[in-house]
Amino acid sequence: MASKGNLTLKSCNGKEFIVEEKVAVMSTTIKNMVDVDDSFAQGVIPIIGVDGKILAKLIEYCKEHAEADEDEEVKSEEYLKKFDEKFVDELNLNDLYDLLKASNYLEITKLLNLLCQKVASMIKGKKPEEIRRIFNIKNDFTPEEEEEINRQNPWAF
Amino acid sequence: MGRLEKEFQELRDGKQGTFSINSTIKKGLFRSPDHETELFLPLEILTRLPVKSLLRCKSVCKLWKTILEERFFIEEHRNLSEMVYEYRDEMTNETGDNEEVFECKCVLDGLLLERNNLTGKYRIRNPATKKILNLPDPGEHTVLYVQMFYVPKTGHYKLVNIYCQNGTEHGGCGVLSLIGTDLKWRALNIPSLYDLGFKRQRTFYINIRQMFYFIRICEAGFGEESEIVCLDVGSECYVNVKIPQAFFSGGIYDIHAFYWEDKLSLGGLVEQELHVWILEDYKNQKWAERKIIIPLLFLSEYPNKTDICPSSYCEGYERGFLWFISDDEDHIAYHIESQSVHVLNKLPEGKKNLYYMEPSLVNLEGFQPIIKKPKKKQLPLRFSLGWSVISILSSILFVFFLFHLNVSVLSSKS
Repeated sequence: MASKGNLTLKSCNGKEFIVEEKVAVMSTTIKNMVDVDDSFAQGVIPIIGVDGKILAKLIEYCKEHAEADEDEEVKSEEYLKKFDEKFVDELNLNDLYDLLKASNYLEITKLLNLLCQKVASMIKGKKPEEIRRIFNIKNDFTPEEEEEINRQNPWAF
Repeated sequence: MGRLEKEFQELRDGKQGTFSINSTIKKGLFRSPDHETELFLPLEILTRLPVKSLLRCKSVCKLWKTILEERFFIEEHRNLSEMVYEYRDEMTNETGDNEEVFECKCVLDGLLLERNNLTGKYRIRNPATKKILNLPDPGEHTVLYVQMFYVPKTGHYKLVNIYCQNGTEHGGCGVLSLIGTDLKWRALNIPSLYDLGFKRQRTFYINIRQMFYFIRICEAGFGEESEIVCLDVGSECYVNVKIPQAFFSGGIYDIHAFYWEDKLSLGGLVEQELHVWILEDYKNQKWAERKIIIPLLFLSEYPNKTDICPSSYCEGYERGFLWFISDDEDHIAYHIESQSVHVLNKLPEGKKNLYYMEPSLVNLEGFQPIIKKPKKKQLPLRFSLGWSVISILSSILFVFFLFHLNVSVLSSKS
């Protein structure tokens, strides 16, 4: 049982995290739950589909940003920017994808934006085959179809 | 509503629905996120990319191609794109891409409607995807105004022009629907446009979504007979709305048209105030009962009131901002409540604005890639000069040689 002002989040593989409420409600999904029903504030909130490793990452991010929102002097904008950069740079592609899914599902808008921007920067300037390789996407076009698309925008290739 | 937009909406609605039922939350209604990420994530990520990258992304897989061609996505992407400004050098008329022949008549959704000033032909260009669509000739008359519209109901673009028959005051209105490949201008029968009587009129227009408002202010009789032709470009129905004479108290030249929360309004500057009349319901010719008066103290910085022209008042994202365009093409945003003034888009010195737009993926049927003709390689000036000097010198030498030869032959004869 978490103490007052704290919430317990439980990952899909059973790991429990006790976090301050202000950190947890960075997630709109969790905020809505707590607002709607008080009993969540006392009990354990199951975060289905998010494992312990990813949940720990999410909490790390939310903690930094929640503290920065509270006290701008301790954690300046510049500090946060550096934190964000380091945060996304350390992620491998699998974690990045899992975090994207989780932050979308938990509606952590700031993090979702950050991660989308990161993925977008990985696509920018790349050729289609490179993009497919990075994201493990299957090419479902016939060679003729692909050639036709490329022919329409010759300058982009 | 497109298929993608509908699915997306359903996803969003479904999500909100989860929280509207208290009892079900407790049972742990946490759906696996996978169902929605398949569609949601590519959407979120792809909107953040520039057009060039997106054109490549089209050939990644079928799902991405479908997303990228969906109107809903194209609009989301354009809204997130940064505005692109194209300038022209005021002195030399030089533009970056050597297209000074073309004059931009209308900008819509990242598309430019352009007129070739040498041939008089029109085309639509998407500068971001580098594609053009050449348009058919509007016919044997002088086009006064031409504008482009998007009709959401059919998902197509339409062009509307106001023209007059060469050398006369007989006017008319033409429509061109960009549907299919056989494009043809059609005449719209609007009897009030038969007589355009230029000398007695001041005319201007404004587009608000799919409405085209053609405003004709009659100079004779101090605004009597002045009217607005309100044309719904989608349905091609029109209504003529009379302009009450009270609007002209500041004179017939000080009146401007601008949009006010999606409605047409007429207004003018009186001293340091903006007087606004809103056309509440054009179909029933209903003007707002009272005019709105907004004090504009910052106008003292613009001593000549013709230097500044109100362009819009928009509510929503830019809630409470009144927009003006100054003579120098600065965009001035005035926040009514706080009375603060923000000047945007200060043009670089000596430059003239050609157009500004958000780059978009909008594609039209029949769009062709722009093929740039390779420029003829010219020999460098220094080289060609040197070459001509050498050739002149050698010919002089040759003449001298002949002359010398001749002289020596002559002298030997003697």
